[in-house]
Amino acid sequence: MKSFLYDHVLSFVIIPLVIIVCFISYYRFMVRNDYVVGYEGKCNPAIEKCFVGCEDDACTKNNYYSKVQKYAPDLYKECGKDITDCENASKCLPGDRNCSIIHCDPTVEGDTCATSTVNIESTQEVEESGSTTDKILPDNTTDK
Amino acid sequence: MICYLFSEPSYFLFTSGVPALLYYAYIPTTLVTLFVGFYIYRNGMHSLLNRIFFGISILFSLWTLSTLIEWTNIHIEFIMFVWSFGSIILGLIAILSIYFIYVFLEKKTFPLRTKLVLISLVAPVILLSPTSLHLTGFDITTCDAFNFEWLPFKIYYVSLGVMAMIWIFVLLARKYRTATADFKKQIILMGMGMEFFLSLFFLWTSYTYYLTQIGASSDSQLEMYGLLGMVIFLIYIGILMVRFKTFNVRLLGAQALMWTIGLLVGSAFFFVNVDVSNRTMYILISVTLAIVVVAGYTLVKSVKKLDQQKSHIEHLLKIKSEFIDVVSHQLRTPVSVIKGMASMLKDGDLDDMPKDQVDIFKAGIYEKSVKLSDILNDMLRSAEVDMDNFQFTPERLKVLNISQIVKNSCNDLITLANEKKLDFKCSVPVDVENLNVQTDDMFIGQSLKNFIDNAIKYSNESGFVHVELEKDGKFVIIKIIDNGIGIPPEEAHKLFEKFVRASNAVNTHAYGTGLGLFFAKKIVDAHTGGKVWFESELNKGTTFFIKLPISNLPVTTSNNLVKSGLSLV
Repeated sequence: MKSFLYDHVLSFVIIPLVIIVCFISYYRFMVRNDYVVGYEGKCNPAIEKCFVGCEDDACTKNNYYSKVQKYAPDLYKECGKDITDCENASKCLPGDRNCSIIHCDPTVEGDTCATSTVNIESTQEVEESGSTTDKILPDNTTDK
Repeated sequence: MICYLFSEPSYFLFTSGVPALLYYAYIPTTLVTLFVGFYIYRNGMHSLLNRIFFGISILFSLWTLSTLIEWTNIHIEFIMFVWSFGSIILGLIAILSIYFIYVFLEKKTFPLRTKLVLISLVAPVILLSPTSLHLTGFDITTCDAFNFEWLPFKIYYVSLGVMAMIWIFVLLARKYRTATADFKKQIILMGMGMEFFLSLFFLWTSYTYYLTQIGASSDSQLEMYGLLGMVIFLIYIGILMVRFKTFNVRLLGAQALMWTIGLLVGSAFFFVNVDVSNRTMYILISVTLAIVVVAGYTLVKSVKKLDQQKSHIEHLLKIKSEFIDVVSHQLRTPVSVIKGMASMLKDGDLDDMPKDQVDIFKAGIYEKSVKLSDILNDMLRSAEVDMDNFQFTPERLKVLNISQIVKNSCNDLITLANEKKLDFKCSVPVDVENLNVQTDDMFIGQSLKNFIDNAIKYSNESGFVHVELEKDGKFVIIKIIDNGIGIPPEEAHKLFEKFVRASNAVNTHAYGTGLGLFFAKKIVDAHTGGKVWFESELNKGTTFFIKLPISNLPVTTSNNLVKSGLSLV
């Protein structure tokens, strides 16, 4: 019996451990939705510093956005599973945990910000120069 | 919640927009890994080595499946859930690889202490994988989990792979020093396969993924080439199974290669929709072509080898049948005669016979016993020299006078020649009388007697047999000339083979085992520069030429050649 236990100690320890972790993981992600969701929130270039991108592949229209991160249970409580037309998805409401909204900072290398002179051509030039548009800004530029 | 980068996958995994290489690299590799793992497990489920390999193949398949889900699924809860297992699977593959190599080398399980060390190494990865130290969130615009939240955790489980590589290298190197030549080859093959697998699987995939995440590389497909590590490992496993019967699995080379080619051609279905101008297409076709060429070449080589082995087996079967023929004909006759005569003696049938008649019976028994003894001696001597490069043992090598050896051989056979009323001459010219040869005194006399006896046996009554010596530079040539039945030209090439007798020799009543000339040629060939050849005309006669190197050393012993009975061909 002792020898059998020693021979199979790897299986006897690791398999139960993995099964327990599997349940924990299922509970955390599938049941509690215990994670943060990152997405592009709505942004008004007239009053805010917005990132700018294209709305479609042909780039016929600009898309102005801010980078939002929100704790998934809060987001689902406020907007449900579809956040497309949810105003609250682009705001950090009181009581929201781990919520952050990042606006564009023209001083940060790689950020393509919307200005009054921004047009589609200039946007494309900037993107082709190799800059990234989804880089997270330093903490001092983050609205919380 | 779903991410909008791709549409909902069909059949759980298939969606448009993901790189074709993803399916080409992942699905065939996973299927073949599972197949090989299951095949090995099924052929030896009680073997620890087979079970560990099956475990590695299952873990690898789970890893590819989870990666495919991460790439193609759009439900973020599910992606996060699956994502949390990636690190666990990597950690387990690392420790199982070490365990696998240890069992392969030592043929026994790890000591308990080492197992506990392995558990303590992998336990942190398992326990921390569902926590926010591993995964905190998901970006639905890029359809990717947040990465590098806590870099030390990621570095730790990738380092397990590096540690496994080093540990395995040390195990292999230590065992290599004391291994047999055959096992050394297996160590090299297994070691290379495993190290390729681990380095590509851990280092390449992690490094290229990291470069993509920090923006240093825009080609997210680079990490997929890491799966080639498993393909290479499986090729080495296949070689080990075919050549060394590793895992106690009997697998034909041709079988393995046909599966490989079939799989490669089948894999092409996974990238048929890729634009031909795409660089990926060229890479995929190049990889496929290279493997098909190597597999095809190996297959042809393997078939050629099988063909050679078949010919060899046919040759051996022929020898066996000839041996049975010799035994049944040449042994049965004297044994039957001895048995019959002994039975008459036992029953007292000879009591009333005249003495001269009884003497004939007694002489008959003696003569047949000598014949049986000759056959046995022929077989024993032939067995002694029956190897590809027969060499004389140094302690039996002596410098002998060649003319004396020839004279002795002739003297031994003169009675036999006289019985057939042959003109039997042995001529030794004066200029060769003092020539010496370094040889084996037991074997060379018997070899010469076999040639001369052969000539006497197949000469017609009142014919001739002449034995002549002549000097040819640094060699002496012995000629045995007869005017016997000759050798059919179409059978000349196999005259010196074991158990072979010319068809016209078999039709005579002369007794022969087909071993005399085989033995005689082996002995002559064992001399440096020694050579035998013959010239023959059917029904007119044959001349055998024996060429031996002259030795300038003085004679070391007297020529007491074997005075045993005649060896008949």
